[in-house]
Amino acid sequence: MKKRTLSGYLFYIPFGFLYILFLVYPLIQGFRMSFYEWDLFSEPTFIGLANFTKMFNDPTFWETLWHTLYFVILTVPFLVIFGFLIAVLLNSKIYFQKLFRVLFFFPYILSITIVCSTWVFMYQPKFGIISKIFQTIGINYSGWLTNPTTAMPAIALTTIWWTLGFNVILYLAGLQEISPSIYEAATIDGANSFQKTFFITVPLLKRTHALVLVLQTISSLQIFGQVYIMTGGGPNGKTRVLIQYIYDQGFRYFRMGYAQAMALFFFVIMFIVGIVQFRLTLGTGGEKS
Amino acid sequence: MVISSFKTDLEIITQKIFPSKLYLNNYKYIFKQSGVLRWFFNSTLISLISTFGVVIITLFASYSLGRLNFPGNKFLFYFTLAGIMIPLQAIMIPRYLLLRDLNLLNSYWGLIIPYMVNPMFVLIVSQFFKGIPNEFEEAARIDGAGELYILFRIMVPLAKPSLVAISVFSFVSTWNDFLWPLIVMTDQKMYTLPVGLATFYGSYSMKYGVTMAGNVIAALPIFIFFMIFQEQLIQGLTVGGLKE
Repeated sequence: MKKRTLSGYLFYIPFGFLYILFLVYPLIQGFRMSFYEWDLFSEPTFIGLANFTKMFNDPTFWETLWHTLYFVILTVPFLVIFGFLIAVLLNSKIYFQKLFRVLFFFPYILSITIVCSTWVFMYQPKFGIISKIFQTIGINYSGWLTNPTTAMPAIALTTIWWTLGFNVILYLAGLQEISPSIYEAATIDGANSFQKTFFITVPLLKRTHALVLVLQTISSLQIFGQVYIMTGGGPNGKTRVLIQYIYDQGFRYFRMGYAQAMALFFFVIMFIVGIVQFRLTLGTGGEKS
Repeated sequence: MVISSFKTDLEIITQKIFPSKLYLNNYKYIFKQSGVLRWFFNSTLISLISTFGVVIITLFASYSLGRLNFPGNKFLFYFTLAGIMIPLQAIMIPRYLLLRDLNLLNSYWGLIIPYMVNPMFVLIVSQFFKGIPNEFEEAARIDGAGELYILFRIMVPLAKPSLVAISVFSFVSTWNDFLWPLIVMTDQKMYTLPVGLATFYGSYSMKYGVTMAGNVIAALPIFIFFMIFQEQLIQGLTVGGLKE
């Protein structure tokens, strides 16, 4: 018995040590830092809550926060709804089912740089394929990434193409857990496939909906790379997002305390979403995972 | 993308669908002008070592949490669970400073060691361990087998699907990570492939043929990897997403 206790601790130690060093300690250090002004080169000075008051009075902070939320609004509904619909289509007996599954999923494992630079190429005003397609249907528009109105939606579209496959896979896994006998019963009762999808599949996948919705919100809130590569935050800061602002403040202008105060604000948002996730996944039990 | 990589810039601008002849200068250019081979090597090395490390560390921690009954087990479980609530973005600045103090900036280990701890992986594998019936283990215990024997000879083969899943997931996410290498690596030679290419494209923005050639080079190994591990990959993502 005692030997097992010893190995229990011993086996946990490598993980526990790194976990404390690289996650717990930085988090605590982050709380402390947010009360200091520090440029990395001189000594940090304690300034109390000044970073937070500065943050709440900083229009750029609110602007970048809004851009982040705007991106969430642009991507999450599409990713959830299309993820579901495509999964339903793929789950029905169609030809080349496996091939389609692979096709939808492949973009997800491509690295962000490949995806974004290829899309920048496609959005290119003069010879990009997207501008070209719009020209052939009579719309002469080319400022996809340079016009403030379309820049964020263009980034959102790229992201949707890139990550949709992940949600499809999650939904497919959920769909496979629904027993076929339910559909057979519904067929006998005369339900058509539309009714089956909306009155059987949609409610039965409650847990999957919650999961996809929350995971997607979390990953959309973390938007940074796509903007960094595709527009650099432009035109005129109109696509600059919160993580990018934190990154710039911290690693470009070395305002460590201020950047960390905003990072903590971001942590609080993520924490709330995380709590919602726990509630949803625990609250809507009944389906087995 | 593949087709464009073989075109001259003139052919791209004049929107020819197919290149007149196989134009290889884009590839020559990218191999010469950028550190693409070096970045490729960095990415491969970092992804392989981190994946190997994360699997070993996760394995021990999960066995401890999932199979061994000792005082404090419950506490450590919840302690680990709390970790999945910490996003990298919230701690990237203090973690960067920590690496600076440890002299690990611009080094492979600076990227690799933090990648080796993943509370989510520990939870997934320990849940998997918990589901294994006791009979397997008891027979070996009666024969006097030690913990290491039980872990590697009995538990690892039984938990193989979850281990394959986390390895594949870890490899792909390390290979594609952008933010963390961007912060840790400031020396061009130490860049990973995504960061290196992004910086390279940023400074040569008009050379689309070169960009596409770079993308082909970067996508090819992932494509091959994907073709081989498709099933495990899809399964891995499902396990990672559903079994919280």
